[in-house]
Amino acid sequence: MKYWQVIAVFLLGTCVGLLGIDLSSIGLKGYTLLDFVLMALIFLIGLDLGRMRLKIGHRHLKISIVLIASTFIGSLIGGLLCYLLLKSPYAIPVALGSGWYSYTAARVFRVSVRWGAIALIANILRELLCMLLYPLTKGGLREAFISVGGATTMDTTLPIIRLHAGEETSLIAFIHGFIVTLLVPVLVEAAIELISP
Amino acid sequence: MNYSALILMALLLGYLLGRVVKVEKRIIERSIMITTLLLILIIGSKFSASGAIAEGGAILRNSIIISLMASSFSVIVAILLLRIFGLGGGRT
Repeated sequence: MKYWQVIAVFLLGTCVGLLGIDLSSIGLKGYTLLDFVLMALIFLIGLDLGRMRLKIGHRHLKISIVLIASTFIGSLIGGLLCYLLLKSPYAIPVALGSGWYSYTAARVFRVSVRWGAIALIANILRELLCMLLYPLTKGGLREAFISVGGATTMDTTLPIIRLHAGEETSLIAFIHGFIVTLLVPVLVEAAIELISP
Repeated sequence: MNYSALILMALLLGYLLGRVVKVEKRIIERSIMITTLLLILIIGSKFSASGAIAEGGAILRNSIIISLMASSFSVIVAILLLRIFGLGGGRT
């Protein structure tokens, strides 16, 4: 997949959204179009991994654990700096959302409507950054850049990683995204508890 | 059903089918590419429909700052840790 194709399709989607059409909200029986496309993608990634007969080795696990730690440590440092810069402690749980915009926005929205909106946009932007910049990465940076995708590396950004870095890196990305997804609710909740008066 | 459980089920189903049925690599890659482009189209529409562009002001600015800071530090920490543990991290 060419980089210009990603940009062009994204811009096309933006134009559709500006017309007031949110394609992700189109749904059937409680499931949205986004859910169906995501499930199809994850199924295809699974098919690809099964075909390759890859095994999860020690190296995959080691890199995944290092990347999970990096995602949260980096997000925490970024969140703390934003707290000082923007003068609001809510920057910390927003940053710890690690790309999971639906959960983080809904959770932060309960304590601050304004910061709920910021949580949504900041985490969508994080996902977009990964989608748009990942194709530009090279060599060893391809593994480190998985941290940018955060929780989304188990679903939405996984195909981009698969197409540009191959099957082995996509396996690391999935493990990373899966564990980050499990930990985000715990860490966001802990951050909100700590900063709440 | 829990979202993470659904994702894991889809992956497992695909994985098991991939081990049993022989599917051409070209067909899988083409399918992944098409669904990825569809996904990017949906995300793009979600992004602009969320009002992020129309908002234009402080909310968008703060969101950009947080996403850039969190992403940048995540990559920096990842590169450092991968190098410290001898697992790569920018070395080609």
